Parts: sequence; C-alpha cells; structure tokens
Amino acid sequence: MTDPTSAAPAEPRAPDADFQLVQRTVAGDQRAFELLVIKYQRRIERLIGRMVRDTDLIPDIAQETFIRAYRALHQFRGEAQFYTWLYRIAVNTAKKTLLDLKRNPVVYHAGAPGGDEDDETSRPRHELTTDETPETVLAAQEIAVAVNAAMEALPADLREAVTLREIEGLSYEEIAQAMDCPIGTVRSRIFRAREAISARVRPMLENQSGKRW
Amino acid sequence: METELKAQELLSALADGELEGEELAQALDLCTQDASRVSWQTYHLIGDVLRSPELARASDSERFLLRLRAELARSPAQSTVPPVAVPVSAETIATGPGDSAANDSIWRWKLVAGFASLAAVAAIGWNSLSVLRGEPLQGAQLAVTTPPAVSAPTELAQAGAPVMIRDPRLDELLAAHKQFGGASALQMPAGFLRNATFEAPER
Amino acid sequence: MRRLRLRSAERCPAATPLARVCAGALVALAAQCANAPAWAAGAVDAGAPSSSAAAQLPTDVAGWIARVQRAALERSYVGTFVVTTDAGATSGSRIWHACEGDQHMERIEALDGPARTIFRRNGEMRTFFHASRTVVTEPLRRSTPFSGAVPSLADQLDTLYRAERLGRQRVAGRDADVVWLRPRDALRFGYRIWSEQGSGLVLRLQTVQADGHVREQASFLQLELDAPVSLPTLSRAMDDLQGYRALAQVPQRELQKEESVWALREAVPGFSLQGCRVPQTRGNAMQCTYSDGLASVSLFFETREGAQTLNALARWSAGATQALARPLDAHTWLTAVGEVPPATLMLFAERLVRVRK
Repeated sequence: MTDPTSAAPAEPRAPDADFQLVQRTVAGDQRAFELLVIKYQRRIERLIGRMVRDTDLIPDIAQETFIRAYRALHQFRGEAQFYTWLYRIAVNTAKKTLLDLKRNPVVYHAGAPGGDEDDETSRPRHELTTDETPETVLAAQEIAVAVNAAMEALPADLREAVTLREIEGLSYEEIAQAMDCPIGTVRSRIFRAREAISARVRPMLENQSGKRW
Repeated sequence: METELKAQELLSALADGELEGEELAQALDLCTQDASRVSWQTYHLIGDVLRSPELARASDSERFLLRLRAELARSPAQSTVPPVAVPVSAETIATGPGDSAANDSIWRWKLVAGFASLAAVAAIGWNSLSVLRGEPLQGAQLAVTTPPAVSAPTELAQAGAPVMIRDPRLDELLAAHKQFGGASALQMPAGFLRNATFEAPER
Repeated sequence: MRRLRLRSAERCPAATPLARVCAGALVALAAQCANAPAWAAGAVDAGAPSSSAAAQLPTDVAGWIARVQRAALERSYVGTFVVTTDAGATSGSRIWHACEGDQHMERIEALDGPARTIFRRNGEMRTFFHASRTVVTEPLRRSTPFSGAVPSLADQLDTLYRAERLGRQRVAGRDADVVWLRPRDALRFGYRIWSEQGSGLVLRLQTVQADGHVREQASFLQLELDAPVSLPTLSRAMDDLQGYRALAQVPQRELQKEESVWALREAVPGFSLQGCRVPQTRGNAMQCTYSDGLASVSLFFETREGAQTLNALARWSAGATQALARPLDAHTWLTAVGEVPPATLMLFAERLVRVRK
C-alpha cells in the first residue's frame, strides 16, 4: 500500500469565529463582544465553579472576568485563541477573589473557609458545588437527551453536516468537500439542523432558566 | 417569515465564523434583537452539549448581559486602538529564523481513501471508555457514536471524501496510550491526563 | 526506584564558571558512552551570566531531564495547569503535589469536562466522578509520572536530541530557564522546557515541530512552590471511598515474548519496545508500547475479519498526539498512537511483520 500522506498538503485553516468578533469589538462594536459573552458564559461559569466553592460568587467573578477581558481586548493579538486567553483571565480572577476573601474574612458571609479550595485539610476531596446537585445533573440530562433525540431524528445530510462542524470542527469548505456539495448547501444544512434541534430544546431551556443553572 | 429565516441563517454562519463583509455586518445588526440572541445562545448550547453533555444547562444570559452593560457603561470608554504589538503575555521566545510565529495548520481527521466508520466495533475493554471519558450521561449517547446506516460510509467513500466520523473507540485507545504508553521522561504533572478532555470543536 | 544521576556541572564544584562548565563537560563525557558527540563536551552555557546558579545548569539533554525530574520528586506545590493545542482546544486542572521523603502523590481537580478528582499515588490512579458518585482505580505503567522510566533510555537521549538554551523568561510569576530539546532527526518532535530557576521544576512544556511551530503547550498559570501540602491528608482522601461506588476495571496482563504475533522487521530509530499488554476479557486485542525516552508510541492490534476490504488509511491529530489506523492484513487492524510526527507512525506501520499465526 503506497503512502499518499508522504507529501501532506498544507491544511486549510478553519476560520476563527472568535477572532472576527474580537476585531469587531475592538473596532467599537460592543454587540460583538456580547455575542462572545453569551457563547462562553456557561463554560466560564463552570470553570469558576470548579475553583470556588461558594456558588454565590460565581456570577460576580464571571462578570469581572468578562469586564477585564473587554478592557484588555485591544491588547489581544490573536496569536493564541480567544478562549484560551479568556480562560487565563477567569482563572486569575477567581484566584484573586479567593485571596481577597482570605484577607478579609469578615466580608465573607457564605460560611466556612470551605470557600478556599487551597485549604485541603478542611476539605480533602472536591465535591460538587451546590449547583452540581443530582437535580441539576438530571436537568442537564434532560437537555442532553433532547439534543440527542433531535440529532437522531434529523435527516442524514443535516446530521452529517452539523456533526462535521460541531464535533469534527471542519470548516464549511472542508465539509463541502466531504459531502460533495456547494458551500451554500453546507451553510443551509447546518442552519436547518440547528433549528430543528433548537425546536426541541428551547421549551426545556425556558423551563429551567428560572433556576440558577 | 422567509426573511426571518434567512436572517437566522446568518447567525448560524456567524457562529461558525463563516461570514464576511456585508453579511457579517448584517448578522451583527441582527444581534440587537432579543430573538436573535436567543438563537445565538441556543446554537452554542447545542454545540457545547454535543461535545460535552454535562454543559447542558440553561444560562441566564439576558440578566448577565444587562448587568455587564451597566458596568461597562460606568467605566471609561474602551480604548479602540487597533491591536498593537503589546502582547498580554509573551507566549513564545523569539529564537531563530526557523521559528514560525503563526499557527497556520489545523489538523483534522483525514481519510486518504474511502473508509467505513469504526464506530460499529464494540469497545474492547482497553479501559472502561465511559468512565475515562467522564461518563456520558445515561441515555445521552450521541447519535454520532451509533453505527451509521450501512449506506452512509459508502456514500462518503464514493465521494472520495477525506473525512471520517470521530470514533469513540479511538478515545479509548488514546486513554490507554496515555495510561500505559511507553516511558517518557518528560511528563508534566498529570501528563497522563493530557488531552483528557477537549471540548471545543477544535482539537 | 532509581533516580537518574545528575550528569552535569553539579558534580564538579570548580571556582570559576568557565572551569565549572568544562569540568562538567568532562564529567558528562565520561559518563556517556563513547559515541557521544563532540559538541556535548564543548557545549557552553549560552548567554548565562556568571552567577553560580547559572553555571550549574546542565548542557546536555540527560542533564536537563535529570534536573527537571529531581525537582518534581523533591518539591511540593499547588498550581493551576492548562494544556492547549495549536487548534485552540483548552483543558485545565488544579494540582496539589505532595512530597514526603521518598513518597509523592498528586491530587488533581478537573477544571473542564465532567466534575472529577484524580489521585495518583505510586503506580495507581484513582478517579472520583462526582456526578455519578463512582470511583475507578487503575494502574499506571510508570511507578511515578516523573521517574526516569527506563534508565537505559536516558543514556541515549543525547544521541537523539540536543539541548539548546534559549535564555530566560517568566512563567506563572517565576523566572525560568528555557531550553529547547531539538531532535536530531525528523522522526520525533522537539520540546521547549521552561525550568524554574531555583528548583528546576517544569513550568511550561511545549511540543514543537522542527520549524518551531508549537503543537501543544502545557503550562502552569499559577504556581505555589513548596506549598504545605500534606501527603497523609491526600492519601486519606484518596482512600476515602465513602459515598462512591467502585467500578471494576478490565484486568490486563503483560504479554510474554513468545506470545507476540507482530514485530518490527526493522527498528524505528531510537524507539525500543517497552512491553505489550492484553485486556484479559478479549484475547484478540493487544497494545505494544515503544519509547525513545521522551516520546512514546502505542500500537494497538485488533483481530477483525475482513479488515483488508476497507483498504484505507486514516489519520488523526490533536496537539502533539497523532494517530493512524490501517489494516495490516485480512484479519488485523492496526491503530498507532503517539506524540510523534505522522511519518513516524507510518514507519512503524510499514515495518510490522507477522511472526506467528
């Protein structure tokens, strides 16, 4: 069997969705930044929740993270990915908050020093934050099951398109090659897949959005 | 209704970074509307959940954004100087002429010839996959991990498509490699956990 | 557990930096086998100020490895640690590392992915999954993640890589010496190491291609060195399974040499076989691992009828890790995984021959 990979062609780079929005933000468009916030709020809050025991602190630290990111955005050169950069800010902000609280224990109402994860003698093993309860896990399961069911119900070409995009991370151009169709068709298929899944998921989100998360 | 759908489609393409120029501007204009932001939020939730089921949670973005806007409005105007060579943190050391500064290659699953998905093969017990991957939630097995209809791989093969659906079995092998792979003197802390979970579409 | 001996200047307390370097080089030369390249003897610590700390820095690969490993074995720390790939994927952990005498262990909290806590103690890894309240215990091949692993491989490191100092940089708020371990051939990746100035601890590790492109970076964002992490406390936490259901693991066994079905008709330069293992429930699968001391490759063999009808080759890549899958014959499917360039995996695949029915 010959090796056709011996002269690997240069891989096309998938467009960096975030960097476009970063550029628009720096150019003065705050709406673009808000799109980034919506995109990453969940992940950043989960990250913060892993570092900070008290869930009441999470939204505050998340706010501060995005504010710091917004203010420093003009310095972001795009050599690293935006999310990696945002991630570091979140970690640093969470750490700073914990240190501040340590220094001012009077200010800290939420209870025992269990808020400080570094004190591993008081809490030797990480446990779920109060938000990662069996109830929230179940709620997450409902949504995940809905997404899954919606995926299975999709026509094959829609499912394939959205899979190649979301799971394989291919660009529209690569997907067009893989599925042997025009790029416009790829864009349309992914959109229709998303709409179909959204239809199943949205009612659930509305039910749950009353809860913290 | 027709134009609304067309508009929503722009948002979907924006989420994938596939818009430019006029369409990009249009899409951003849309985002002042609540309904558009809800779509944006849901599209990203779907993506997150497909890759990492336990990210499946509603978030209160509207409330969050209101608070954020208020705070940003309070602070001095954001400098809109275009990106200058003042890195937030020096990521690399300038070395020699061979040093490439730009990340210009993204790797992918690539097929060289037609290929059938390996997803049909049962896990062989290298490691308890669900455990090491962090247990996909019960019942939340993604459609993509079930064997596609027999015709699907053939279609891909016939298209000469250089693409293969990611194989959960590969994840199992990766984990086994990390755990039992040959000696390396250069294990960073938790080196055996490297690549444990990457949740972005990128890898 | 055997520790790698330091090979470089630390053994020769000469008065002046220059004398120290030369003396160190002599020791290095003596300690290595006869075909050590001449540059290793004459290597000067490029760009180092004439402080005693700088003059102690190793100049050869084995020396650097020994330095960073010793640090990991001797110092406690707490830190936040992030791995990123060139595609932008990010994965973070919070790490507590406790040392007490000869013992050391880690506790790791995942910042991404499912909520879980991982403990490592000696040859064992135990993962607590908090959402499902399950716990899994698995063996790790190496007794410690930082062991020289295979001492015999340490001797050959300088024939496969060379150490090039790049200067100094701050990472996670600490000064670090930066060294590039450059491969001498195209079969492996290089590594840039940021080694904490005082202790030698690895603060950042980049896996790089020959052109310098960074495929993957593992780095501390924050680090508290010599933090008071209590090993007995971590150990107790690791053994406290209360409230968690233990999941059984598929037992593995090491393969005897006689049992090998496949072998390399020609070695891939620098890589030697570390061993093969088989999951006990399924005799028709096997994992063989190879290493050159820094990089490792796993070959997975699976019996699958009709393998060859697929007649295809698949590649996969994420950061430093590459994978390749292809049929070997009508019955056997190969998946090769390793932190090496794809061409190296291809070489492994091409050199495999069946030696037994």
